[in-house]
Amino acid sequence: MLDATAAPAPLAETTVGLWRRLVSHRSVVVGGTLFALVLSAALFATWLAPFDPVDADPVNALQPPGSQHWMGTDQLGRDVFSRVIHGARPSLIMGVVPMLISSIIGTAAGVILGYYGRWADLFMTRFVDIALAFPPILLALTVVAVLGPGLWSIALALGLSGIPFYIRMARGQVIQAKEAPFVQTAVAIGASDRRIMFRHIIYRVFPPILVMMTIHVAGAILAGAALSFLGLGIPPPNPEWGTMIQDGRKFVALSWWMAFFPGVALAITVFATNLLGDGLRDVIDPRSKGEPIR
Amino acid sequence: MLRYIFSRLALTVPVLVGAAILIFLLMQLVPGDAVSARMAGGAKLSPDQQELMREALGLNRPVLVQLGDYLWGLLQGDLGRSVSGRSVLGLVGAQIPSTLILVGAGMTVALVIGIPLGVLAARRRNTLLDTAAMGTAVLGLSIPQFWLGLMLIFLFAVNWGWFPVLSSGGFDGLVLPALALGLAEAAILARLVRSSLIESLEQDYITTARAKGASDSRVIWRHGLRNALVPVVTMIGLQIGNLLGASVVIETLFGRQGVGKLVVDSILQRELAVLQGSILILASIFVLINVVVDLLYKALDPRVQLGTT
Repeated sequence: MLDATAAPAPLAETTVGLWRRLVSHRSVVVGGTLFALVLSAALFATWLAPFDPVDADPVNALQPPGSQHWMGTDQLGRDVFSRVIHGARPSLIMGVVPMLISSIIGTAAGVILGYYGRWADLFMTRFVDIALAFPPILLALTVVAVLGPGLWSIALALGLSGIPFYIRMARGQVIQAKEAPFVQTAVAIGASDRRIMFRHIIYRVFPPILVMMTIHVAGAILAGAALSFLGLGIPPPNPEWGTMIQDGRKFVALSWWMAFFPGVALAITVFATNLLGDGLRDVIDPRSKGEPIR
Repeated sequence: MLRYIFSRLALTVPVLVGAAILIFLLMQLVPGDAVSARMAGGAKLSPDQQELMREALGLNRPVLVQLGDYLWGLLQGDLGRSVSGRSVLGLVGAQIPSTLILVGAGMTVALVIGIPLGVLAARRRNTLLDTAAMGTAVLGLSIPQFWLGLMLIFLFAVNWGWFPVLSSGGFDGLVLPALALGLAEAAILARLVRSSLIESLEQDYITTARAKGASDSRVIWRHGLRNALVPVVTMIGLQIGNLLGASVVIETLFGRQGVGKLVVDSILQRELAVLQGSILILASIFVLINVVVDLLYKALDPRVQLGTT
């Protein structure tokens, strides 16, 4: 017998309860607050930074942290604090843009393949197996080699290399959901494919995908910074945390602060995103044990 | 079991062929070719000479013909030639041991720290120790490996002089890169071991073991952890992939020879054949390691069938 109670509640009925559970979850609150701070730095960098991030001041080169320059200065006398604040923007772009590219394309492809199946599904499943044979950062490196260095190249490369993970996740969820009684009921009463996919199945697919999206942002920020560190990111003099750590590497014996503070900013941002991801998973998808895409 | 091993190995063939085709096609999209790379490297060639060289290297032929040649070459163990004419297989092959040693050392760090930390957190579930261990794990997961490596260099090499700044290849030179690689993976393992062990400690057979008077340590290490390790083994396979990827950055940071450093150098020097060969070798290592992981998985849980892992 079909169990109608197994059908998920419509979004409108669950939104308020879900929101309450989210805002009372410690990880969500701490992660969300930290992330909001980083986002504010990215949005209002021009007003928050006390100095111009690219203006060189050789007289004050390699100054340790002090009252004027809270995080010291770099080899060209630029204020590290101002550069850290301005560096939030490219880092967030490298985290959010790949997540959007991967999740939109990957989820759509996964839902369609999982629902309609057949030859396209077989072909794409093999393609996903092949793409997953590459550690993600290597695939991204190859795409950057094709596109050339730069912020948007890195974002696109990380976005493309993340797609297979979403296809696999969405496809798996759809295949499970197709067998669920509420979907079988919808089929039996003659609902259209589009209605079944977007009205019923999407509720099953969305929670784990949302968790994956959050954790993906953390992984993409780290991977993007790593690619920048390798010299494939934003060209100088623009500030970006990975590039700043690379610059600091050359002066690590003389001025630890050049690499230390951009790394702390990077770690706080990723920590905030990971906490948010953990909290979201606890609240909306407690069964999954999602781990980072890197 | 032997049949399972052969079937599992057979499944890797289409994946490896597909990976070779994918990487070949991606390389076709890179602007320029081996001749323009030689010119960028300083070779002075007239347009006629460039044309002759393209013909000699077979670059004028249709892409599908070139792909066929490439795959045929792979079957014979030929990964092509670098801009300077050296065998790519020789170049990459010489670097594989160094990368495997680094990845092995990183994974050892992850296992030695991650599993006991996870067990400790599961045993003291919901205590301050558990919260502290898991908080540290999330923090460890958030720290960029290359930055951690740089801070380790600053503390242990520059300030205290315990280890060399550059990784020369001996044991001394392996410690800091292995720590930089392994600590984040230890954090992931600790979280997984904790959740998996907690789940497995709630099973009936654990209650039975306790009822029979088995000690707490025996229940955890002998009964609980064996089952808790099944998902952990799968994760280790993924983590080795992460470590192979991260070796690109860590080898560059520590100036350590390896396939990862070769990948970065070949991108910066437009050595496309070397890049193609290096990535393919790293992907093949990853695929083969996953076969080994699947076999371990099967050994730990004999119910596993092909296609379920």
